Amino acid sequence: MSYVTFNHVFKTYSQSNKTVIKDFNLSISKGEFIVIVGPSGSGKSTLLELICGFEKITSGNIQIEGQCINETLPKDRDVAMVFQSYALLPHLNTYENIEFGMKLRKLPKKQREEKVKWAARILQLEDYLNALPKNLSGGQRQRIAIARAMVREPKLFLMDEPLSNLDAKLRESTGNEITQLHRRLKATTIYVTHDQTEALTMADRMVILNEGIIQQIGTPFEIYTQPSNLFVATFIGKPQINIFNVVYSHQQITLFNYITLNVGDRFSSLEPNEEYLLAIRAEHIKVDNDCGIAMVIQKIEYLGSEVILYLNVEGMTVTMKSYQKLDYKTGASIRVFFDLNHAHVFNKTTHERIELNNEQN
Amino acid sequence: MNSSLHKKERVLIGLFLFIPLLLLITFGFLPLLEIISYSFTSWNGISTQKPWVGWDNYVKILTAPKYFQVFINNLYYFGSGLLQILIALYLAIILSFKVKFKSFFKASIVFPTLISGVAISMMFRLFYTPDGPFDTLLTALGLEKMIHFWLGDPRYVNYTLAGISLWRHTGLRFLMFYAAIQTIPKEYYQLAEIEGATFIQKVRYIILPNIHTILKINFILLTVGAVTAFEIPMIITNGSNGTTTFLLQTLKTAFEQKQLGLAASMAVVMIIALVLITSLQKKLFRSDNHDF
Amino acid sequence: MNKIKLLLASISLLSLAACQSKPKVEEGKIGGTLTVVTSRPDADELFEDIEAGFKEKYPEVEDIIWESSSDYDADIMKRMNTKDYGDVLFVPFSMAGTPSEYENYFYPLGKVEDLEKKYLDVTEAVYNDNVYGLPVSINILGFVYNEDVLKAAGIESMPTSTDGLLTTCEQIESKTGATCFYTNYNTSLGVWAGALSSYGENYKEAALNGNPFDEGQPIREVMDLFYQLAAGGYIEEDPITGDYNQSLQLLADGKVAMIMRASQDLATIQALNDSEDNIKLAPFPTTLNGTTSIPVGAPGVIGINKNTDNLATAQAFLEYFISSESGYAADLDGVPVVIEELNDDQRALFEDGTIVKTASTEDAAIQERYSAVAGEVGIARLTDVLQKVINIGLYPEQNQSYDDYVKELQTAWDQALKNYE
Repeated sequence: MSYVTFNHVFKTYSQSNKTVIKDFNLSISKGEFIVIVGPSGSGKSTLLELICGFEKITSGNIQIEGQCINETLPKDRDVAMVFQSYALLPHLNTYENIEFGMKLRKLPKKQREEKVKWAARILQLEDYLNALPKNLSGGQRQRIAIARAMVREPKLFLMDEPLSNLDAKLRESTGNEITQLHRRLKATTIYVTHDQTEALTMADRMVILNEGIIQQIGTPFEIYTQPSNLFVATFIGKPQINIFNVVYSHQQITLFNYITLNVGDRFSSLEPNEEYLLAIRAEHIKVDNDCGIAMVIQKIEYLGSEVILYLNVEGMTVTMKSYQKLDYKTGASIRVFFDLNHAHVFNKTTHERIELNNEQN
Repeated sequence: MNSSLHKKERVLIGLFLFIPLLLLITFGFLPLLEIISYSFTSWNGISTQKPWVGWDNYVKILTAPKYFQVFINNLYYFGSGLLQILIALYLAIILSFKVKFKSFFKASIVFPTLISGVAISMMFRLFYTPDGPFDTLLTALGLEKMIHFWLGDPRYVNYTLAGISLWRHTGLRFLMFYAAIQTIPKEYYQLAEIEGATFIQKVRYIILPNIHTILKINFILLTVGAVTAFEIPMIITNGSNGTTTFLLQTLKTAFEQKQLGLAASMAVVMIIALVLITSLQKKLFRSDNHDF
Repeated sequence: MNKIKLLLASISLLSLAACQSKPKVEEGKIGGTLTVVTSRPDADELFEDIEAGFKEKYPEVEDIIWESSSDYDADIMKRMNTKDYGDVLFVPFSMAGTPSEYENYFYPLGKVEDLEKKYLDVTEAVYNDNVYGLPVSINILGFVYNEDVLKAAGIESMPTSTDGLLTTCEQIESKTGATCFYTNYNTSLGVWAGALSSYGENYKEAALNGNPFDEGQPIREVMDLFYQLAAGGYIEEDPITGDYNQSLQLLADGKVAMIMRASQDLATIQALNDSEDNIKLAPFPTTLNGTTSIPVGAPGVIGINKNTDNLATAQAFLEYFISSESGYAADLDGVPVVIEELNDDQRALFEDGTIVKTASTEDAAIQERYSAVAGEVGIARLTDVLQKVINIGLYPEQNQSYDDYVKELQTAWDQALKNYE
C-alpha cells in the first residue's frame, strides 16, 4: 500500500502564472529512499515546499498514509526537513539544536535527553554536544541537521540537496552515512539533488524531473539502462551519452551520410529512410583496428582505472571509455566500433525511446 | 620590481586614506582637543583673550546643584527611548510577516524622522493648543476629564515632550530592526513552521537571536540619546517650564550666556559620562560575543 | 609643469584685465557712477525704484551699482581692510562696540547738535560728537493696542505704569472678555531687552553698582510686570502653544487688547482688519523722569566711505536715501528719519515722550563687564527669565515662589559681581 502518494499534483504561481509542477504522480512505499533529480529550475525545491506545506498545491493532492494533507499545517504533517544550508540556530549548541523541535513541542526533559543522546550516538556527535555551530565543520553541521530531523521520527524525511555544500571527499562519506542511516532507521525519505551520481548511488528509486514534468521513475538500473527519453539518457550517465543522427534502411543504419553499420534484425521496428537519434554510452564504444570507424583522438583523460577519450569525427565529439591500457596519443587516428546491442534509438521529434527487438543489456 | 610595486601601493593607499583621515582629524579630533582646552578657561566665545582658570569650571559644575539637577529631565528621554525600542521592535516583527498595506504602515512609521525640527515644533504646538486637535480627539474618545495644558502645565510637559520624542525617533529604530529582520534567511522561518513554533517561539528563537547585534546597538544608542537629548525641548519649549536637559543647558551656557569655557567643561563631562556608560554596556554584552 | 605656469599666468592677467577703473568726477559736482553696498540682497526691486528716483532728481548721475550680502557684517568688515567698500554703505552694527574706529572708515556727516535738529536718532554711529552714520528708517518699540477694545472697556488712554496696566487689564477682562495682553511667549520675549532703556537709563551701570533685581530696577520692573500679568490671569491661557501670526489676527479682531511690538508692524496688523484705523502704538507703561519714553531703533545705518572719490554724489544720495522721497523707510513701514516728515501721531509721541535708544549707549567697558556677569547669572537673554516668571505666575504650586526666585537671582548677581571685579 502506498505510504506517500502524489496524485496529479500541479503548482502554478498566481503572480507569474508559471506552472512549475505539471501532473506529478508518484507512489512511495514505506521505508523507500526516493531521489528526485533534475537540473536547476526543474521544480525540485518547489516540490519539497509543497510537501512541507510552505506553498499551496494548485490542484491534485498529496496523501500520507492515506490521509490527504493538502490543507494540513506544516507542523501537523509529520514531516522533517534537512535544509541545504542546515539552518542550525547559531546561538544554540549541538545538544540544543537537536532538541529544538522537541523543546518547542514541550516534550519532557528526560525524553528529550534520551532522544538527543540516541541521535548523537548514531551520527557520532557525542563529542560535540556542547559546541556551537560556528566552531564545527560543514560535515558535522550537516549531521546535526540530520539528527534534528531524526529525533522527530517523522513519517517522512525530506532532504534538500544536503551534500551540495560539502567538498568532494566529505560528500562521498556523508552520502554513505546517509545511506547507512536509512538502512538502519528504515525511514521513508524523499531526497532532492541535481547531482546524478548521488542519485544513482543512493536511491531505491529515482524520479527524473525536468521543467516540472516527470521524465521517468525507476530504479537506478532501469534509469541507466532503459532511459525512457532523450533527456533521461543525456542527463544520467557520466560522461554524457553520445548522440548521432542516423537513417535506417534495410538492416543498416547510416551515420554522417556515408558510414554504414550493419545492424541485423534489431532495428526492424524503425521506419526506413526516416531520421532517428542513436544513443550509445561511452563504455559501449570499443577499439577495432580492423573495420572500425575512423576517428581522431582530441583529448585524453586518465582517471586511473579507466581512460576517457574524446574523439573527433566529422566535426562531432564522441566520448569513449576504455579500460585497456593502450598507448593513446592526442592527434592519433583510432578505429572504433559501436556495440549496438546496448544502443538506444530515440524519435527525432518526440525524443521518446523506440523499442528495439531483442532488447539485451 | 616587487619593492617598487609595494612602494607604489603604499603611496596609493596613503593617498586614498589621506582625505578621510584629514576629515576625521579636522572634524573629530581637533575640535575635541579644542573643547578640552577651552574647558580650562573662562572664555566668552568672542574675545581674543582666554583667561586660564584651571579646574574651576569642573568644580563649579560638580558642586553647584543647579547644573546637575537638569539631568533628571534626561530620564524622561531615557524612558521614551526604551519605549521606542520596544515599539519599533514590535512593529518590525509584525510587519515582517504577511500584513496588508505593509508599505503604507512602513512609510507612516518612518515619516516622522524625515520632518524638519522647525516643522515639528509648529505642528505640535498647534496640536497641543487648548481645545485644539489633541483635546478634540480626547473628547471624541470620551476622555475629556483627562485634558490638561499639555505643554503649559509643568506637571505634564516633560511627558508630552517625551511622547513627541517617541513619535519622532521610533521610525529610525524601526528601520534598523526591520532591515535586520529581513536578513534572516527564510529557511529559519521554514524550520519554525515545520517544527510547529508559535509566534512567540518564533520571535524568541528565530528573530531575536539573529538580530542581537542590532539590539545591542540600539541599547547603546538609547543611552547616548538619553544623555544628549536636546532637540525636542529646544524646539518646543526652549527648555522653559522645567524641561531643560543637560545638553540644552550646555548650549545655552555657551551661546546665550556666553560662557564658552564653562560650557566646554560641561561638554567634556558629558563625553566622559558617555564613554563610561558605553564601555560598561560593551563589557556587559561581551559575554554574548557571537560572530555568526 | 611649464604648461601649468603658463595657465596660471594667463588666468592672473585675465582677472586683472577684468578690473575696470572708474572715470573720475569733478569735485563738488554730482554725477558719474556711485557704488552702494547694503545688507539687503532681497530688495532689488526697491533699489531699482530708488535709483530711478535719484536719477530723475539728478540727471547727471550716470549709474548706481548696487552690491549686497546676506552675511553683511562679516563680509563688509573684510572689505573694509581695503579701500574698496563702495561709496555709500550700511555701517556694520558690530562696529558699535568700538566707536573709535568710525573715523578711520567713514566720512563725518556733521556734528550731533546740528544734525539732531533735522533728524531723529543721530547717535547710532557717533564718536567725539561727530556723526558717521544716519538711520535708514526708525522703528519704535512699544505696546501695539486695539483702540476699540479700550473704548469698549471705558478706558481713555493707555496706562503709564505697571499698576495702571493691571487696572486697565482688569477692566478690559471684566467688561469685554478679551485677553488683555498676549505675551508671545515663544517669539517676542527677547525683544523686551530693548524696553529696558525705557525703565532706566544707564541700567547696565546701575546693575554693576547695585543689583538689577532690586525693586525699581528695569529688569526687576519687567519681571514684576510679567509676574503680575500672569498671576492675575491677564495673559493668554496657554502661552507655550501661542502663535505669533495668530496673535496679530486676534489683536486685529479685538480678542486681544495689546501686544508688545514695534511701529513697523502697525501696517501689517491694520491690514488684517481692513475697515478701521484702530491699531495704535503706545509707549511702555512706565515713566522716566516724569515722561514716557520712546525707545527707538534703526534697522540699518547708512554712511559714506571715507575714501570715496565721488563725495558730493555720495552725500546727495545719502540724503535722498533717508528722506521719504526715496520710499525706503516707507517700504519697511518705518517712521521717517527726517523730523519734518513725521505724521501727526508720530509727532505727538515724540513731543510727549523722551527718546531713548533700544540699543545700549553705555560705554564699552561697562557693557563688557555687564555681559560677563549677566552670562554667569544666566540672564544674558531675557527670554529664559521671563518665560520662567510667566510659568511661576501661571503655576504657582509647581514652581518655587516668585519671591524666592527673585532672591535667588539677587544672590546669584551679588556672587557673580565678585567674580568679575
